[in-house]
Amino acid sequence: MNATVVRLSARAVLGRRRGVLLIILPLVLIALAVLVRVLAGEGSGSPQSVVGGLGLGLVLPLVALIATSSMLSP
Amino acid sequence: MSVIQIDHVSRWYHNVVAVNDVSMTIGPGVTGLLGPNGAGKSTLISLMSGFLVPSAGTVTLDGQSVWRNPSVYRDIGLVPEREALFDYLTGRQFVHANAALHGLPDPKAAAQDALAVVEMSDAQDRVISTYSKGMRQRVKMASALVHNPSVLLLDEPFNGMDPRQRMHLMDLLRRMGAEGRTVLFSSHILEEVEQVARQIEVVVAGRHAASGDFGAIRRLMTNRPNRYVLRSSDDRRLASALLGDRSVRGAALRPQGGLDVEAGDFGRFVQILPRLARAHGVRLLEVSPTDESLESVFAYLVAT
Repeated sequence: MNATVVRLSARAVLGRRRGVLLIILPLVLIALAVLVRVLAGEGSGSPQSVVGGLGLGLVLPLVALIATSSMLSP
Repeated sequence: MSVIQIDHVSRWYHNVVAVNDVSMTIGPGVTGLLGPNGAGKSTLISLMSGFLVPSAGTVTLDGQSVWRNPSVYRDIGLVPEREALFDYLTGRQFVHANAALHGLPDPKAAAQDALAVVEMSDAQDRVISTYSKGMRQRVKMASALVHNPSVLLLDEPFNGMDPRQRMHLMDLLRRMGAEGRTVLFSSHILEEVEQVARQIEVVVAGRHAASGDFGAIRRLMTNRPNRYVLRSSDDRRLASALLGDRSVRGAALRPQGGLDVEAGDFGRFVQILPRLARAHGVRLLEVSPTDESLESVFAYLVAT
């Protein structure tokens, strides 16, 4: 692994406004899961389905897309 | 002293031929690659820098193939036309990253030297997104020069520059050429090329149309047959007077009035036209060239 490429990639992903999205999106997901847990109560299984459905189906691909496109395009 | 040898190179994209059987040798000094837009200049530069594989023929740098040969990048500096810089980095960080990627022993010093060469030391700590077009061009140049290459390839470096930035870059290219580097830059403007380069290679529609000293190319371009439309107080009399001079190849009266004239010797024609008109008492009302576009000049070069 080349240290210069790693440094440039880190700057590309974290050093710009879109880097904030990488933190905000998972935080929104966690907040949603907590909200569902509070409203639906313990043992309902809803928070898990939020993390599974919304997290794996939407947030994870979105975060991956933002991170990789930041690295690939200067 | 590095020499790029392009030997019967063609490059096509499916059924579109971008470069057609081009052979040329680029040696030390400044060489201008001249041609209209879409002539294949950028494709040729990509072939020379090893970013494109030729569909036929070979491109070598000092006898070594440039395709799939990363070692040639120790000797080649490329300034692409694309403005894809890392806008969030400062000029210094960008050039330093390039120096580090080249594995130079002291990347920091190399970056400082390269930025000083292009006179960007003062603005080196500003973020690239705040740079003007000329500054971006110069920072690209610094990153291409950071490993002190013997070959410098520049794709349309003067595009979008203001006159002052243009003069500055021209000085820089002349200096690089005088140092013995092999410098090649592309342009579609003859005046721009002849101010910097002695050697000019003309490419039109993917073909190598002309090659040589800028004086020879200039003569080729100005000595071509030139067509004019003239309107005068007595077209018939002017036509007979013009046909008597050797600089004129043909003259035809236009049905709607006026005169179509083909001049074989442009320099002589522009001198004798007003003299002949005055000598024969004819008043010139309009003199307009009909094929002065750069494309027509290039088309003529291809045909000869």
